[in-house]
Amino acid sequence: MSRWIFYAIAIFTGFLFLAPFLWILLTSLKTDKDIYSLPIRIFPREVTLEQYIGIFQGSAKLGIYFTNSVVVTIISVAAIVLLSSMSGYGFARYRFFGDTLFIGFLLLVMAVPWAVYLVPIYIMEFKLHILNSKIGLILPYIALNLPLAILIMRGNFRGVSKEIEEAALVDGCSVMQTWARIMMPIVKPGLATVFIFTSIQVWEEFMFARTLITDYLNWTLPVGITMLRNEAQSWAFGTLSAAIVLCLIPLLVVFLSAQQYFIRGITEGAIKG
Amino acid sequence: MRIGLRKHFSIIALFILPSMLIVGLFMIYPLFHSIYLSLTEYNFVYSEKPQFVGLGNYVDMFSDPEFIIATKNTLIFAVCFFTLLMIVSLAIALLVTSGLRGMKTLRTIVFMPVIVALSLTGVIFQWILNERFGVLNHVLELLHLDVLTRNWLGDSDVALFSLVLVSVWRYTGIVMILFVAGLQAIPEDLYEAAKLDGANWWNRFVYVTLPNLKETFVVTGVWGAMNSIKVFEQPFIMTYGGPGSATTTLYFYSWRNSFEFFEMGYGSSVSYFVAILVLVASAINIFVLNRNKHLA
Amino acid sequence: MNRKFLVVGLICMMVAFVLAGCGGGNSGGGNASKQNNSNTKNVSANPNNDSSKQEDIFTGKTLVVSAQSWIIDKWPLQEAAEKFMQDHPGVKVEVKPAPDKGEADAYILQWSQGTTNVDLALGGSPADISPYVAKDFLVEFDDAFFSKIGKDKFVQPLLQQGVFKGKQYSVPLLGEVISLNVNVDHMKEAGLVDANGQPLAPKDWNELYDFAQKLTKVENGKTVRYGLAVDWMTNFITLNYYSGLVGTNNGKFLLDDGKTIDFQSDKAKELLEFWQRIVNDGLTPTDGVIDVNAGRNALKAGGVSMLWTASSRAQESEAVLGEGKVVNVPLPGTDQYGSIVFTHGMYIPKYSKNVELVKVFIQEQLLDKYGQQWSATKFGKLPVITEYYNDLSPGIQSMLKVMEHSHSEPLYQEQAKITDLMHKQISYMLTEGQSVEQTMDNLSKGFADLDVHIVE
Repeated sequence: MSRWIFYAIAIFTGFLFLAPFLWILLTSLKTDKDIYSLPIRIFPREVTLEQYIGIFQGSAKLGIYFTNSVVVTIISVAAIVLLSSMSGYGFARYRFFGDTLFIGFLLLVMAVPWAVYLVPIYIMEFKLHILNSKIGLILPYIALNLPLAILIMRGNFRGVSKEIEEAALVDGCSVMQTWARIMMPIVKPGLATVFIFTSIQVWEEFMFARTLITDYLNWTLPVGITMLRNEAQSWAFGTLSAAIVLCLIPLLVVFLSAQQYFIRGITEGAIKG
Repeated sequence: MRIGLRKHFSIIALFILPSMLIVGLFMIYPLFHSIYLSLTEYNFVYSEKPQFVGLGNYVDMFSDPEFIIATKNTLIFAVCFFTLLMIVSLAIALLVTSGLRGMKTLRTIVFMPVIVALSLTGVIFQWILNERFGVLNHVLELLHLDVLTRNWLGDSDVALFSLVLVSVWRYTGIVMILFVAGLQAIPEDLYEAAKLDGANWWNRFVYVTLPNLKETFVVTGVWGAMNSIKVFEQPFIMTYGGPGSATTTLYFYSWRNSFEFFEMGYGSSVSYFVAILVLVASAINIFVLNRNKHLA
Repeated sequence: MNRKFLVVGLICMMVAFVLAGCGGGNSGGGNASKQNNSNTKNVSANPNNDSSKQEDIFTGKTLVVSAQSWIIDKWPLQEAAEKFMQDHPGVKVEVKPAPDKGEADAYILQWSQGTTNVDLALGGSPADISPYVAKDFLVEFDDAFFSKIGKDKFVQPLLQQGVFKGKQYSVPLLGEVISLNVNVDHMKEAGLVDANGQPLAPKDWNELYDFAQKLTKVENGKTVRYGLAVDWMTNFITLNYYSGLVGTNNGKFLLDDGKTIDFQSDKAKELLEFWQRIVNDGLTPTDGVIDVNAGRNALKAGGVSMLWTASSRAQESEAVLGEGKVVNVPLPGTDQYGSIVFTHGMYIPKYSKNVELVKVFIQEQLLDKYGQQWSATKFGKLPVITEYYNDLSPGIQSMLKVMEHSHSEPLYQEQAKITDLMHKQISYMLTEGQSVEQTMDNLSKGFADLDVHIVE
């Protein structure tokens, strides 16, 4: 009997989480008049693809923005995962001069609202001539997201008992080998966590993207889409919905196919004993 | 430490140096520059140059009514959002690991909002929660729940909570997944033993589940603290801090000061106040969790 | 073997970095290094449009025009660019979108570093442009510029908006005036039209209240149509407030010192009371306080009959509701005393290397009849040159009359804070029951505390 209650809750919850997606999908298939009609119509009077067509004809270059975002995200996330797993290990196992200070520094960088860094980083990048480039976004993203990543990985590494490493070292493995072959698989959950947090953070970041990218062709997706929702424009919601759907589709595809591995990554190795 | 330091010095350097370089070099100037600015009065457009005022900004903050309201809003948001997020995520995680059918689908569905950018989420919900054109009120009316309809973003009593709900929708997926991992790591025998001892489901939850989720709580706690206090996109996109100042958070207020009013000095000091809040919250989080360790 | 892995990994990362850095789009370093064709002679604007001569001078140059996205839609910029390129073979014109002011400044950071990657910026009210003037980033439009189209040909109040410290630092691209945008059919239905079927203009607040009341429709306890809506969000709050005073207070909305906004007079009180009443009595929705588009969306959907905001909403709504279905009606008193105008300006960063080319582009294309009239007819963006009104609809021509003795908002250094103050206090008054007296006091005091400076 109580099973049915749980099923009901599950369905209701699922619906709550799914509903906004459905609404966007429906909106993207309506004409402007339908979208803004009063009283509201949930289903389109006539299904139309004019919103999608409008995007391709308009000045929005969604494909370019999407690609820019993908490149920036992949490189940033890869770098962060690699660097954090390396330095996380270093901090977890070794004491050296200034390590606590550095950890404190990381915490500070993490805790401060990143908007304060906008102007100094802009000026720095301007002087280094890396403004308006992908590297100009990737470097700040790495610098800003590494702190949390390092802390997570450090925590993970500390949680592993030292016997395993010591055994490996005694067996003649170098530190590098120990790290790569033995430690890394154990901390897979940490890696997966870092991977998710960082991917989302970088993918959706728009403050720095908007400030550090001065040419619209180099915009990332969040900036590009925000341009569609424009201050002085109304009745743009149809276009916006279509744009959102278009952007979600590739993400969904990747996500749905990868989620198996990915969730397994988090949960695997977490089963102790 | 157990592993000899000198012997592996070069390796350590290789491991740690790149990160230290990137974060250090890149962030040293911004960090010091912004701390310096927070000690000055500086209007980017109209001031000749920054004027040092020591802790003047920090003192002014506390007699600035807008700042007080922003602090209040931030704290309310943080507490509500964090609590709700933890409870909802844990509840769904429990449901998802309970072995009912279709749970994998539920898990996927709950995670899906995570792939939508936060700013986009704001845009979407601004539309859904619109008083006249928004579908939420419309659906409530269809279900004859008219009494529940609201001006979700325009009513100052409700606006902040609307932002909380939208944020919960967006972030539950991640935290849920982390809890799922944590839950799956708890060995069945612990539950068996507890059952044998006569514990009911509530006791099992409190004495077996929760303590074993401590690791997860630490990570989600710190991350949660950051995202509950450093709140910008939601008020910026959905309500621009309004109605009135009902949804103005500290981060948003600091941004407005720096980039709309061009008061870079004051904006920076508000930001550092936020940083202090985040650090305190994280510290509390870790402290509380580590204390329980000694009790267990 | 694993060390190799690591090294390979690091190398790959570095390669990726380098590639990413190279693939950084056209403007690699964010500098205006494209426009480096250095044989620019200083050409004073040549009144006789001798294309072959100009072709020599400007060939090989690229002109980058940055415009707020809505301008790209509501003004035939791409066409103008193409026509210009045809007239001047060898010249390239690029039109690029820029973020709106409401999303933070597009140019100030860049220009503060002494460089620019745009030659011409379009869009921005005088308040938006004044920071650039304050930091001396803009090129002056001197008399040479006006030798082609004389200053007297412009609608004066609009041209005046580009004057800062006595010099012309921006030239308006289009103008707008604050008025009531009314749905003709609704007015007819409520019997609020004259003998010719034209909507009546309210003479004072009481009459406007009366209209709003007659136009509001309630069914089953739910308001299905509001009689009046006002744009109370930050982009219009100050303009709308001034427009309410200018008509009813003999053309004045400032105190005699010329810089303090009138928040205390009887007329100010009447205005605020009127606003509070229409909300409390259910004639006006409050979503205009937080949503910039609430008003125009409702107007287009038929959910509101009158909208108090920029006059262009009427033409914008005609696209949906039909020609002649939405017209402009003056706010009380503004037919006599003028209303409030605002403009979106064109301005040139002094770091641009193509200043003369830009000026020619402006003269030939942006101030040309075609674009100005196109934008007026389709979107109600009013032309800045007087004689262009001759071919336009009577509705738009009547706007010219209103504009000619209209007023501009004063230019404050602290404009952003003033807007914030007014927006907040009026929000509290409309949505949280703050009394009118308290609102007036808070406004006066808050304004005094700001110790404002007028940008000359």
